[in-house]
Amino acid sequence: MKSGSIPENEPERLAKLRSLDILDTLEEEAYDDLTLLAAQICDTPIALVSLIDESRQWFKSHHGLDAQETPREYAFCGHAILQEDVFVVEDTEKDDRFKNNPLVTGSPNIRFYAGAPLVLENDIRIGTLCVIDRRSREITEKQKSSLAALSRQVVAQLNLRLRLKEMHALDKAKDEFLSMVSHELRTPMTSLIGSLKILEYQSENLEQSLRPMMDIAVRNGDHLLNIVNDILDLAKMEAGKLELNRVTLDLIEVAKTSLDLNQPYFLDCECQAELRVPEKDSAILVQADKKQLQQVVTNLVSNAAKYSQRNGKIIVSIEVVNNVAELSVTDFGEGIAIAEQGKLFRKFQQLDHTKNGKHPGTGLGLNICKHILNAHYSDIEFESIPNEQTRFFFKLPVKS
Amino acid sequence: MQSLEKIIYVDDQLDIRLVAEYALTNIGNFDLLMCESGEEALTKIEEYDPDLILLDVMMPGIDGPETLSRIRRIARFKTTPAIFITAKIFPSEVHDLMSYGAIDVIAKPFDPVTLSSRIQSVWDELEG
Repeated sequence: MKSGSIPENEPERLAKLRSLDILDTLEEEAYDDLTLLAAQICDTPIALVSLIDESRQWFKSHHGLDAQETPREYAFCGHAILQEDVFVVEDTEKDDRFKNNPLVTGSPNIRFYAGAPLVLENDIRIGTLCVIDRRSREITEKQKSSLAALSRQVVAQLNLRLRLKEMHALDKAKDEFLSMVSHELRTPMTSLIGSLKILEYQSENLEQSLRPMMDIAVRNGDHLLNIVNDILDLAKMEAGKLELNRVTLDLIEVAKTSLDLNQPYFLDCECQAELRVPEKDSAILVQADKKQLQQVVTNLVSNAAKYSQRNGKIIVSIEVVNNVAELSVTDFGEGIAIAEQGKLFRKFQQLDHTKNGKHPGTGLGLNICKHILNAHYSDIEFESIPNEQTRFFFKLPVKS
Repeated sequence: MQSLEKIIYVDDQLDIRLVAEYALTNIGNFDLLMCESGEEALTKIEEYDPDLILLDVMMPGIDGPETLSRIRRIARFKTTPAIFITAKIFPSEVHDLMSYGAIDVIAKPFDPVTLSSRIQSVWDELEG
C-alpha cells in the first residue's frame, strides 16, 4: 500500500482547513444534496465530501457510508488532492498503491474510486468530492466533468462559509467598536456633567454674576450628551444592530406619555397640545418595541413644539382605518418650505428656522425615527403647507 | 426592613469616584467606601461589610462582573444587593449585566442629584 504524499503547502493547507471551522460539525443539506447528485450522476453507491487534516479524512457528507472518518494513511483522497484533474482508480485490486489498503481488503471494500479535488483560493486543496463503488468499473468523460463541476459547487459552499465567518467577525468588531466608543465618550461626560449638576445643585453658594455661566455649562453639557446618545443610537441602527423587543402596547398610552414628557417644551413655547383618539376605542393595541416607539412619538411631539408658533396648537391624533392605526402629530407653525423638504431625513440637517437656538436639536431625531419605524416595517411620512401647518404621521397594524 | 447604610463603590476613574462620593455622602447620607479597582474591593470588602455593592463594569484588571463573581464566592456576600453603574447601556449589555445577579443597572452619565434617591428606592423595593 502507498499513502498519499504530504503536499508541499501542507501548513497553509491545514491553516485554511482550520479557518473554515468545519471539521466535526453537523451534516448540512447543501453538502448532502451534492453527494446525492454525485452518486446519482456517477451511478455509485457511495459519494463523500472528504476533508483531510493532519491525521484523518473526515467526511462532511457521507452518502451511502456510515463511517464519519478514516485514517489519513488509508485515504484515496490523500492521492486525489495531489492531482490537477479528477483522480480515478478503476480497479483497486489491480493497482499496487491500493490493493493492500485496509479500505480495499476490508469494509467498505473499495474497488472503484474517482475523486475531484476541492481547490480553494491560492491552489489550496483541502479534500475531495469523491464517488466510490464496491465493484470495478469505468467512468465516462461526462461523469468526470460532472463530478468536477459538483466539486466546484462544494468549493462555493466552503467559500460561502468563509465569507459568513468573516461577516460574523466584522459584525462582532462593529459591536465592540460601538461599545468602546460609547464607553470612551460617556466616561469623561459622567465626570463633566456630574460635577456641573452638583455645582448647579449648590448654586446658591455661587456668586450671582456667575450663575448664567453655570446655566450655560449645564445646558450645553446636556446638549452634548443628547448628541452623543443620538449618534450612538444612529450608529447602532446603521450597523443593523437595533435591538427590538416587540410587545403588545396601547398606542394611546404611548401618545399620552409623549405629551407628558414634552410638558416642559409646551410651557416654553406656550403652546397647547391636544390628543384626539377615536371615541369608541379605549385602547389601540399595536405590536412594537415600547421604548423605541415612545422615542419616535416623543421626538415628533417635541419637534412640533419646537416649530410651533408661540401660543400655537399641537394636535396628536390616532385614527384606525381598516385595522391600521395612524398616529399623526400636527403643528401650525411655519411649515416646511418645499426647498427644505428634501433635507428632512438627512443626518445633522436642521431647518433654517431652528437655527435661532430656540431649542437646539441634534439634527438626527427624524433620521432615528425613520430607522426605528423601518425596523417595525413602517415608515415616517409628512405633509406640509408652508406658513400653515405640518403633519408627520406613521402607520402600524392594529393587533386584534 | 433592613436600612441601607453602608455602600462600597468600585470605579477606576478618580473623577467619577469624586462625583459619586459627593452624590452619595453630601446629597445622600450614606457611609461609603471607595475603591479604585476590583482587586482593592476584594481585599477590603470583608472588613467594611457593606449593605450594597456599586460597581463600574469596564475596569483594568478584573472587571465589574468578575469582581462581583468573586465577591459572591465569599459566603456572607452571596446575596448582597449589587448595582452596576456603567456606560454599557445597549439593551443586550444591560440584559447581560442583570444576568450576573445585579438588582439594577444605572447608566453613565448618572445624575448625581438623584443618584442616592434612586439607589434608596431600588433598595426599598427589594426590602419592601
